[in-house]
Amino acid sequence: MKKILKNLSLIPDTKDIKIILISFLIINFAFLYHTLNFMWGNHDVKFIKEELLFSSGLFEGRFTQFIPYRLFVDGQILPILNNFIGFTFLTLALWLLAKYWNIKKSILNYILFITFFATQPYTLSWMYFTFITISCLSWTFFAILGLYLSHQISFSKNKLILTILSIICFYLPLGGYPPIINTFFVCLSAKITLDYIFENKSLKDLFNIYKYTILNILIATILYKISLNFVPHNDVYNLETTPIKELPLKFITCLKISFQQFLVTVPFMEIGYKILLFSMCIIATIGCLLKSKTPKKYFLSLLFITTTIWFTALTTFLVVPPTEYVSRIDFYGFGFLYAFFLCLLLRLTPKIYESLGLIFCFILIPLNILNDYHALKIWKQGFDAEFQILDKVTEKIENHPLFNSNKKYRIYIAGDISLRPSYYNGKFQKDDVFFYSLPYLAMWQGANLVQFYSPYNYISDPSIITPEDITPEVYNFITKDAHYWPHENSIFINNNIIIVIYNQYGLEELKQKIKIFSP
Amino acid sequence: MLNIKSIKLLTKAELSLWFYSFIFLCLGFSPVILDFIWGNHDWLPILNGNALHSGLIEGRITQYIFLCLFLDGKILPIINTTLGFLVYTLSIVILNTRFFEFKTSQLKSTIIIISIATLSYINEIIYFQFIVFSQLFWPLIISLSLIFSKKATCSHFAIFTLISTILLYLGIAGYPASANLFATGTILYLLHSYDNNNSFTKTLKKLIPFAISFIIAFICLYFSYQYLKSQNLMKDMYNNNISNPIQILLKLPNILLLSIKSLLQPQPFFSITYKIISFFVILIYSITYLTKSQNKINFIVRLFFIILTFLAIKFSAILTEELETSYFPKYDPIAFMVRTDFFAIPCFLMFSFFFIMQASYKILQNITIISSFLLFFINLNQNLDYSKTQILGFTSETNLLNRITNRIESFPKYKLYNYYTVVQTGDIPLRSRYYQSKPFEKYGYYNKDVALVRHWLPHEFYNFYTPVPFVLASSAINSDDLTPDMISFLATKVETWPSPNSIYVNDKYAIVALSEEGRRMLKEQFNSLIRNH
Repeated sequence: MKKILKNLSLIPDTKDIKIILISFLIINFAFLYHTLNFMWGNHDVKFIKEELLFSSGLFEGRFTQFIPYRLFVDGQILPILNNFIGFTFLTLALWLLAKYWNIKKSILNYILFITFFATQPYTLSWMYFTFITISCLSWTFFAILGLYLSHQISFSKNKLILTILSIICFYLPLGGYPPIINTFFVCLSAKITLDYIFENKSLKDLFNIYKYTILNILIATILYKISLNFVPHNDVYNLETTPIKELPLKFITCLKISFQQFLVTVPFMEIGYKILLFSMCIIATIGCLLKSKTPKKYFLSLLFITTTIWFTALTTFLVVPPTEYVSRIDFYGFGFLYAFFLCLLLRLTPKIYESLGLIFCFILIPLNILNDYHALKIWKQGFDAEFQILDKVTEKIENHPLFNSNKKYRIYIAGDISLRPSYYNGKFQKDDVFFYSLPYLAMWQGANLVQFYSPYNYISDPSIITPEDITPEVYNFITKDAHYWPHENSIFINNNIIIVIYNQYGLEELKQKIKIFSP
Repeated sequence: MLNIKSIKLLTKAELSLWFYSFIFLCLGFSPVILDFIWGNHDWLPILNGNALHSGLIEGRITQYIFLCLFLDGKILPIINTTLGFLVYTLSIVILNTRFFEFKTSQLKSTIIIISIATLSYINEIIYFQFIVFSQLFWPLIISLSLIFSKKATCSHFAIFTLISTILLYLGIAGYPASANLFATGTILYLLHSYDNNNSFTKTLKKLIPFAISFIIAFICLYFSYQYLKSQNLMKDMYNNNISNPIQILLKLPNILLLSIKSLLQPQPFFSITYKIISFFVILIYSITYLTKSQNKINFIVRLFFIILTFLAIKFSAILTEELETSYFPKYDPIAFMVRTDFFAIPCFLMFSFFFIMQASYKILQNITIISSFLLFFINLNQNLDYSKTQILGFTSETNLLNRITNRIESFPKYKLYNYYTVVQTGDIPLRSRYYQSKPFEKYGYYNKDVALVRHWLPHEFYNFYTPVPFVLASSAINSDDLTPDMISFLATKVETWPSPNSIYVNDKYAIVALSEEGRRMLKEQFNSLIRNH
């Protein structure tokens, strides 16, 4: 075992251990406020109290999603450890990526490369939902390990073992979160580009080396699609794939999106920051093109870079739901693209490019961390504000004369309350729900939320308001008397149901829904 | 003359072990360290601190010495627990390096020491803020006592034995169950000596300073109790009744069984995986120890020592007279008390780990290191699970307390600046709602079941957050104070929280019926009042 790992250069030496430890500490510092303040997103409410099972992700076809949780934390969402384990995988993944992309090995280069990627606000998008933090950060490790092992196949005697291992490495994350496919292709395309530019490999050589990687990814993807047939999943939006006839048009759309991403701003990634990142990418591209001595090389370098950029929108290309400018999809694609441009700068000659790369790191890493802390401040304020409202709702329910804690009610929450935006005054073009607008008190989680801090379980399961519940009394209340929070009439209780109205939109929606029950 | 130089300061290797064990222990409990939360005895000590004599009432003579000495009796966030962790981890380190003196590579020692220091037995100790600092100090004091007794076997018999006795008295007078560590340490030391010299006589000779310290310290404790009782400073309580020698002898076989059972019994925050691994390590150690026997007598002596160890870890259960009628045997039986195991099992496990590491079988050593690493990871999981349960439970119970206070304050007859006698019956513990019970688990009274409020002491918690204190005290309703309005409430209306009829307030009383059991108690109280009226 030790020998195999040694042959694959996977045993870290003292320098590597220092790199991994220091990078891990910096990454933890960047997200320390989150680690220390136990916050959770609206999908987590039930899982914070209960445990995650192997089967918890099956309904949406995520059949390997909770394997890391069962293995490392016995299905629990634990404060501190949730982020620690996730960051450990992320650090190892990026250390491996630095090796895979052949960045010149020095403690400084590696640490800057690792921390530049990991501290980008994209990472934060995996921390809103605590029930997938470990899995989704660990998938990057498996993806890059898969690429690394596949790359070794052409130089190794143990071709079969490496092939099997790398297929497993690709299959596991695909089964957990399919958009990881962006990472496969962005990192692979980047590696091919780097080899073409710096190692002067011919197209034939590149094909011979990377055919195994492409084949392994293909096999893993086919296995994933076959597995989906055996998984008892629901018809959920995130399993819808683009029909073949729409692909050509979508190809062009994705090309446009992939380039637009450089300058489209989202919360906590504002224009100045984006321009700085874009400048880094432009300088790296110019450096590559200037390095090309023949028109063919010039053209192919440009083509490879463009392909790498296009792959950042691969998920958008493959699936129906809109995934462009979504931070957690960009974590698997666009984040790696920035890392690729940084890698180009660190590898380019003359030395001025490397110096520029380091200067960019020294500016961008602190900016990343500042953006992270800014976001986390707003998250915490939003979280506290929303949960204070939840306390007040609980108190109003408890104090209601008709409320009996021994009874079981069905509950309907009309509207959401999302308060993170109240604490943010930055400018952005595209909202990102995970960073900014997704409520902690989501209406569909009403049953779990009102019982979260409550001493008793009073919501029946399944908790859906039935047509029989819309009695004339209820109908009159909703259409005439109801008002949204914090009005006295924002809560209604009778013997069977509880209605909580958070906002005007929710109230109007509820009115529309019950129209058919008009007495 | 005593050579002071013979008492060495910590070496670099020991400092390294201390550092890592401290860091990882803090890591596992960091959420509760950083979020200042407390247990149900802590409301008043949080406000007022602890006086030096606060523990006399239950015979805890030296309980607050270190708290008063180092922190002026105050309970401070972060400081109390981290200082406690600092001395506790030091005790683990010196117990290994100075008392047992096991030698193995630094890396292996570090892994084992970290896995021992992070054991979840500490979770019941840190539940109460008012004693956390003292409780975590006792392992260091007892470890030092053991080290001095050991030194007395080589030189300066009288002075080292005296120091050992004083230290032991200090420990057991603060928390008698800390004697578990002394008993376990002593037996393991003798067992180890016997393993080295195979001579029962020589081994017995080594027992002398330990036995003297032990006997004198307990005699002193006995007389201290007698004196305190004679001065009416100490009460007979459930936790200071001692069995007589005959009772002790009779219950030894049962305690031995319970001791083994407790090592296998999953408890909250001690999963079945943890129990299996720790028991597996102890089993391997016991087998390794027995297989080193040279003849039958040697085997019997070794077996005798092993049995003694299993009894020693439950030393407090042997001594204490557990009254069947008491509330605790059912919910928190002494043989399964996490807070008493805290003083013995880490020491026992540490010895087992290092003993196996000394064995010549490479495979056993590898298994031990893997088990140790696994144990560390399980500990980290369990400790953070505990932290999460405490924080969410504390938040939900304080939220509930605020809601009850709001309800009392908004009662029509409530008057500001008036003091009320609060009659609260029942309580609503909520920590267990945030804990996912595992198969076969039992108990967990303090680490997940007990409520944050002690309903018989409402002035502690109702006055805590309110700007105008309104609770004078708690007492039963006086029959002379019964009014028609109150009679009507108690006789016909009273319901349980959160019903509007769960609270009644008049000029003198605030009555709160929290749970169904509480409502029943209130009714019984009322019926008895009516009979006497």
